[in-house]
Amino acid sequence: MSGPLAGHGRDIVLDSSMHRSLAPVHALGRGALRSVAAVGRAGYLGMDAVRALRKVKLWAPHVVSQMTKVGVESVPIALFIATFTGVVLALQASYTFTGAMPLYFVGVLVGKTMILELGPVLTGLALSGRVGANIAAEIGTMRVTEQIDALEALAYDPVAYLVVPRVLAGAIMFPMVVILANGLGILAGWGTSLALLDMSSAEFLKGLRLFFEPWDVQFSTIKSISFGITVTAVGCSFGFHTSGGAAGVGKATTQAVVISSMIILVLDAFWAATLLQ
Amino acid sequence: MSIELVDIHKAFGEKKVLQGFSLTIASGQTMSVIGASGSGKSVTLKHIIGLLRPDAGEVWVDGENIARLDQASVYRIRRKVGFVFQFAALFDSMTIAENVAMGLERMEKYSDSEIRARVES
Repeated sequence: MSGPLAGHGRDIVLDSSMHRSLAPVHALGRGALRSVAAVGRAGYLGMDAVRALRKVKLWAPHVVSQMTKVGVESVPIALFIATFTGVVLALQASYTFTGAMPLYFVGVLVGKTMILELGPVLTGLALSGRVGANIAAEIGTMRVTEQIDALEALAYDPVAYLVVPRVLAGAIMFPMVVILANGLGILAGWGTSLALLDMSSAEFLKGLRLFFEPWDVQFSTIKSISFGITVTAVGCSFGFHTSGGAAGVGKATTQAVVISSMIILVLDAFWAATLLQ
Repeated sequence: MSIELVDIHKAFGEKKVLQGFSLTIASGQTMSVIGASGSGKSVTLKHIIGLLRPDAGEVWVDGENIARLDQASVYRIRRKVGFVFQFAALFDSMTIAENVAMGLERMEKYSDSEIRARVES
């Protein structure tokens, strides 16, 4: 197999071995172009969403129902994860500190780690699977079954109707779910310390208070707001640009979860680098 | 409502669907468009209500070139048009009553009680 390429006024003929050797370069180029196009589409959708904020009548009636779906229905999984994270943190802290540091440092580690890192990040990652996938699948199905076209044909702005309430719900509800998760994780660590580590409540609370700063809670809240916007916006973007029927919906859902999880981890590092210095 | 498509070109990637397509439908005229699957019937209809914009050419609806209108003006024209999609006969997340009410709400000429009465009748 061979193929001509135009070059410097004459045709260059590639033999099959050159085609094979250039295939990874072609694949890399196609992947890069697709990624740039996806970022561009997401950017346009973001601008449309900001403009759609003016259409309050379209998005306002749906915010509360989305807050329920995004936030309230996510509480059980977030609390489940937080509980076992708190238990493990207490046990690992005890394992690390025993014989080297006072045991009340278990309280320090459980409190600091839950609030600053594991509460927001683990909740964000779990909700990227639950909420992000749900949004991408729901909007993606609406796209491939022409329901979004039907909305537009009825003169409804689909961005105001579908995207804005979900992103607002994510920005409002993620911090609330994270605060609950932080609290329950610390309670679980406290309970573990009392039941399994031969610590007293006074010791645990002494450690918990020792390095506590109110800023830690604000930091956790800022992170979780950014995670909420990320998960819902990425889910909306992939759902909105779905094509290719049922297989396309599955692909969009997977991509939404993977990309939002990656962005959460990048944002986690970004906030630590910018706000904890 | 008069509709005129002038020298419409539309491609999706490499696939050219419409190449210099023109069509005139006078006000009050009834026209059926038939053709093989993939021949561009839906693409043509979506151009008429501004769901798609042509790569080249003009789409005139009631004397306005819908391909060049802003979003608010396109929505104003769409409120005058009925359109049934091949797959999306209903919004599957809503009840039948909500589906029926949705179009009436967007017409902005009925009160909530009038919409309820029409849906229930």
